[in-house]
Amino acid sequence: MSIPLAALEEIIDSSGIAPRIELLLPIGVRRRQLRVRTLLAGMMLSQAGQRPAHLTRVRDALTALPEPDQVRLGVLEDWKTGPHQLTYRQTERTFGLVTDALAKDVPDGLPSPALARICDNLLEASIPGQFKDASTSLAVDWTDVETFSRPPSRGSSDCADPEASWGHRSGGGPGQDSELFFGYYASAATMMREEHGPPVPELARRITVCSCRHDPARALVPVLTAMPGHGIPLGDVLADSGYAHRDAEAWAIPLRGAGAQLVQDLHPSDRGPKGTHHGAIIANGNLYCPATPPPLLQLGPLARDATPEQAATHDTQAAELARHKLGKITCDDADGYHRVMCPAVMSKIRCPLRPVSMTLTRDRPEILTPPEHPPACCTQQTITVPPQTCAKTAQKHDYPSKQHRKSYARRTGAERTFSTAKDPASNNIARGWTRLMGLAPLALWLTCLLAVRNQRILAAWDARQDHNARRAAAGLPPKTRRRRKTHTDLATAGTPP
Amino acid sequence: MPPGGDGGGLAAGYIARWRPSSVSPQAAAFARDVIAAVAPAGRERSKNLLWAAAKLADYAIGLGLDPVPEVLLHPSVIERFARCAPGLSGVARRTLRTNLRFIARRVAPALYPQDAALPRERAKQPYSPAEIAGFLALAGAQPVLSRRMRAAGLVCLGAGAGLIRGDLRAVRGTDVICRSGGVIVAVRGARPRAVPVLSRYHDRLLAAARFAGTAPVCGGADPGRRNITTPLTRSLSGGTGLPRLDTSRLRATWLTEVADLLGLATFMHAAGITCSQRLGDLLAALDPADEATAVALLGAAR
Repeated sequence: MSIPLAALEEIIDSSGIAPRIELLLPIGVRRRQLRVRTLLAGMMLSQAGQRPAHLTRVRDALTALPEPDQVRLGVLEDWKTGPHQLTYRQTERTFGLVTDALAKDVPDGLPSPALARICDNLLEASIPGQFKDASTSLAVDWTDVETFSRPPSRGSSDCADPEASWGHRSGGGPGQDSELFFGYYASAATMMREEHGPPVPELARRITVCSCRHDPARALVPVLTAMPGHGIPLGDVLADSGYAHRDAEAWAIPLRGAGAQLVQDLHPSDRGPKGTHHGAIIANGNLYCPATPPPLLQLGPLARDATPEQAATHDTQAAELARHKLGKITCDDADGYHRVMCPAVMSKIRCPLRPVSMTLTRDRPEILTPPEHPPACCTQQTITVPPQTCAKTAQKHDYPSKQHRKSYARRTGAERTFSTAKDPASNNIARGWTRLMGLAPLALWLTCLLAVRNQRILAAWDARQDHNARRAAAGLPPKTRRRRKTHTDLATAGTPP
Repeated sequence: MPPGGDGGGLAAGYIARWRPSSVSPQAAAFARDVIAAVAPAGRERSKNLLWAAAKLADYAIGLGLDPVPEVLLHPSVIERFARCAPGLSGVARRTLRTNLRFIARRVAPALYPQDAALPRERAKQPYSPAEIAGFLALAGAQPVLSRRMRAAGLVCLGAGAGLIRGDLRAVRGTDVICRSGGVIVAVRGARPRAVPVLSRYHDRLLAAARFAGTAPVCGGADPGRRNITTPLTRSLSGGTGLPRLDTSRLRATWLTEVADLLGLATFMHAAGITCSQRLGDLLAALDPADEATAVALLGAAR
């Protein structure tokens, strides 16, 4: 599918980045034939044409345009010697100037503020106005981007891409947990539907790139926390355990401060009981009654291949665990403190230490062996919880619970974003996709790629909406994706028709 | 030995081998342990108790409770299981709770202190026709007319219309009416109704009613006073060979006679019903017949 040049030009113009970059570039004696606007259009055209991110491909894309467009964009100019078409050398020159202007004076593996702003603006401009406020939920993830440079030989640090570094990624081989690669981490935030909202196109809204010597979670935080300042409120942030396992100061606290509600998987090391507060058990981001049955506190997330019966059992256990949770009865104050109440006082369980609760009906759990020496959480009606308690693991829903599972299932949109950028049939950011080295060129190319990818998603979205409208007119329900058959389904299927 | 029972030794073997596929191995192990401690007599009883214990354990282990008798056989756990366990019919819930309490009383007796046995009320013994005739004769032998009339009225209202307590005390002479081909007592009070009087009491009751006029048939001025019938009862007691007069037994006499008239025993025997609870549930949806039909059915025709 080709994306019209006009659509790409509209994105570049509405982002307003071309004039800003032009201002950063040195002014020479001779006027540059290739303007930044045209360069960006060429980069996006090359990605729309599913070409590699090579400057030759940029020139190919520009010179393949109809002649009026070439003249309008300055690809074809009248020189004293006659008409002159853009050369590769001119493309390389302008691109080099742009990346030099956007890179840090002393490269440290993180994007410069100017580059970060450029990337934000370009990607934001690729989202149509009607979808800008469609959802505040974002699914975030990072992926590996291997540099074209060969890694430094053992014992040295000399290589063609000094900003790149060694990082870990999931291994591709059988039984291989992870493997090393030399390059960068690219993080993206993808728009997902609200928890109970209508579907929205899964558009990449933010991207950042950092060297593997930096923590990708910490690198993404300033990008996300800057969004409210740009008029984009933060809602649910769906993240895997790689983010949730970071120090609270590195991930959870700044995002909560920016108004985000975390929906994340907990790292196995963060799950289960982790100490007490006034006698209440700290587990999975909540406080629980000290007499909570231990097996419930060890409850982990539901396996991906769980049967409906297993899911129902898991939900029952999660609901039982929630009955033992100390309920939050106040919002966080300015310093992050809040108060929670004993579950027996809240009539969720029956406890001999709370005589009134023993008059409740017996469909509630009963504490059979209350603590011999009741702690504060059993003697006081409420206790105060400081911000450092559960700072890392507290999130929107109880973990694990049915609500959390349903909400967290939206996170897979982040995986789909990267899968479209690593598709061997179209754009594939594997090693060799670009031979330009350094963080600035890579970030610029990746941003162009995701902006183009957003246009593909929008086109598919529009086509699906039209199709559903036609079906509705014919009295048919909207078409839903068919569940992929598993080996188990095939094995248990009946006789063939 | 009960049907299906193979004796204690065989039951123990059955318990040890019990490994159903419908419950988890952990729940089955718990069930085997506790039922072995219960030591039921036969195989069928063992199976029922094993099933109850295993279902409880399956439910409770899923809620994170320790599979030990002191926890799972706690009254609150059993009660919660009986109320909240999914996928059980009402009958199964009652049966399981009964069986689980039985198990718990033997395995964890500290959790179930034995209740002191208290007497249970049963239906009163009806009087025989000879005894009723004796009471009527005794009433007729009272020295004063008013007491003769009141005593006869008491016996007739009790044995002829089944009235007791407040219903009995509140009946006035004007409430005894000849209507619909028989004699009817219009009962006031909490459950106002028209009660046909058995025909052999008609004459005596009508005489007593005429004598009372607008006053209560059993005497007194205020039916709210509860000791109106006591002097009458006392005056009819002490006869030779007669038991003490009891209005509840008079009502039982009327109930027995009317049930016999209706063929109720035959009907319940044919229906296989021994308890009237479900019969009451069914009758709640049916309308009673009109007064004339009731008079004819209940032996009140003149």
